[in-house]
Amino acid sequence: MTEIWITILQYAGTGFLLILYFVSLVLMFLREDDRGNRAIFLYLPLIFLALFIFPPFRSLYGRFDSTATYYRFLWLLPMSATIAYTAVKQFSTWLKPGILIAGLLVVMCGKYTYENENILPAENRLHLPQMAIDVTDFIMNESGGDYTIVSMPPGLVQFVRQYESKLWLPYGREMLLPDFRNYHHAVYEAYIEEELDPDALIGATRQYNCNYVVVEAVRVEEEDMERLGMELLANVDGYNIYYDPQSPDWSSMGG
Amino acid sequence: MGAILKLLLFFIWAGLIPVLMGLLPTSYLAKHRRRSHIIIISGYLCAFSLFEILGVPILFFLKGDFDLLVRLYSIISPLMAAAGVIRCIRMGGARLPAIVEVLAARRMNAENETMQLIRQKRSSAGQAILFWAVFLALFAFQIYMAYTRASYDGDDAYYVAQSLISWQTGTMYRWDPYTGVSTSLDGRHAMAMLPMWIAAISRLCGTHSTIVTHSMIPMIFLPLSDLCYYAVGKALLYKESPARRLRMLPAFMIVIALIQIYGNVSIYTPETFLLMRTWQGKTVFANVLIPMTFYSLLLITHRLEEGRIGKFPWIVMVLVNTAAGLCTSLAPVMTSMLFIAGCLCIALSYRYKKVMFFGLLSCIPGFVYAVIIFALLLPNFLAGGLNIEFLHSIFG
Repeated sequence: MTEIWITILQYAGTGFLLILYFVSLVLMFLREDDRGNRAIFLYLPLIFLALFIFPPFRSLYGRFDSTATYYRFLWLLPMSATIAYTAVKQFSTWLKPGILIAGLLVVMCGKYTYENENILPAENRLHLPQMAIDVTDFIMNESGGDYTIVSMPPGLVQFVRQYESKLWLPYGREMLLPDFRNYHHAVYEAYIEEELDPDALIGATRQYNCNYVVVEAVRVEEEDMERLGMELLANVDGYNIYYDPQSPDWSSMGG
Repeated sequence: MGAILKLLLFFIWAGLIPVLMGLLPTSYLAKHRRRSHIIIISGYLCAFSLFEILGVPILFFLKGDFDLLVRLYSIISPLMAAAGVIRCIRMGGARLPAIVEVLAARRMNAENETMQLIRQKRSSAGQAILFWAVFLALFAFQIYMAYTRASYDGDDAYYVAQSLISWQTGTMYRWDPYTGVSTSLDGRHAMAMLPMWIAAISRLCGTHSTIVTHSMIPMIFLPLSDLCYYAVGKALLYKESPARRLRMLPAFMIVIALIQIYGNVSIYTPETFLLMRTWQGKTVFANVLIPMTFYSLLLITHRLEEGRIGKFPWIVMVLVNTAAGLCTSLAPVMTSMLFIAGCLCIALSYRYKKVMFFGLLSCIPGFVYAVIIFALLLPNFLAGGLNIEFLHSIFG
């Protein structure tokens, strides 16, 4: 039961929209006289709410999917439509000031989406960080547009394969997921060390047959990489791009 | 291919063709009910359903041949659109959008029901125009932000990369999107084919699939979601007098738009998905299919009160249940559950048991999908739930 309440609290988040929805449900219960609207927007959501907080139902859900996605059952409660409908019904006789009040309530109880830290001005029509595109373009140009394995820092792995699928990675975004925190991946671990150890990184990238290695320029000494036989090709947007002459040629592969 | 031509092709394949496909199911409505918003929504439901019906067998039995899927879709969808146009013309045509009807009537000095209403209730009309202007400003703001702001979401590394792989290689779900290594088919996730629909549209308009996903799809999905809420609002205000509904409906839409913009209270809300992950299947499920399920249920209650339900609410629900498969693996199960529970509420409220029978019939696509999903998940179910090894087997 505790997990269910945690899910509800996490869903409600930092705002009070869920409370606004419950207030709307109460108002619907007290004042809605349309039989159809009551059946569909009051009784039906209550059935699903009861089901949602019923622990065996959560257990059953967990047999089919991760309980981390259990919150999606709350999508079956028509929150925004119920709040909007109740607002226009309550304020129907003086709608202009009424909508102003309802709007203010929503603004106060909600949270402005475009303030989210993951929303940034778009740098291009792909809506990907420009540096991920520049680094990928450089490597694809170097490889002649053929398939190639590239070791990328964790900050880029999420983006580069949204731009070019001929670029393979030794590890991907899965290593950034909390579920994989106990998984070992030598390349990823070399990148996330506070002090980058070039021997550990290149040892790992050679294990995975990487043709190119990308490292933030500020994290690596040039002579260390030279000593390990890596060729510096360029610095692109603050990333050093190295070619490994010992790596195999993947250009005939597909995928 | 020139940028303008690509844009034109995008609006033909992702706009015009799906909208015209909508004439097919709406031709089962009486002419005065063939409103443009219903045609548009039905059209997208048809397009998504067709893609899912074509895509799943190709995925499992024809080695996920994406090129074949695109070829079939590009032949059958225009045929369905043409069939919709022909059938609709034969059945008496469709209604133009209300604003076009008013302008046309004014130009021809003819009478129109909306114009009559505006003339009789000038204050209501004035308020309605003001509310619509506010709503359109909020909507335009959402569209502007969708184009000029990038929303970085980790799941894109899966969905957007899948679209790109198909767009570039002509295969479906054969390569791990995170790293590029070859992988066995993860049937359960692969059945949710919205990334493939986006890849197909990208192929047909010759544009990089990530540009289509991030910059162009929001121009389609944001208005589509609003049209669904418009349909729900209209159905909720069905019993209001025309004069009251004239101003209440745009007021309803203003509150909806504000909740969307201020709905980022957590990462889980449908509003967060709508504005931050517009192109993902979960978004379409939460912001298009669930509102349409509520719309169908309200429509059934209205028709029951009028004395005859007709075919259309059931057709909508069949399309919603089929299209749900395109969105996310549990969506068909959840829409079917919602619809059947809704039919039960109607059966009890109106003491009309027959509604359950037709409700169950229209959920057959959801049941079929559920059986396939259950078969795919059976080993996991017998093992007693998910574990990290199972997740690892999915993500490679």
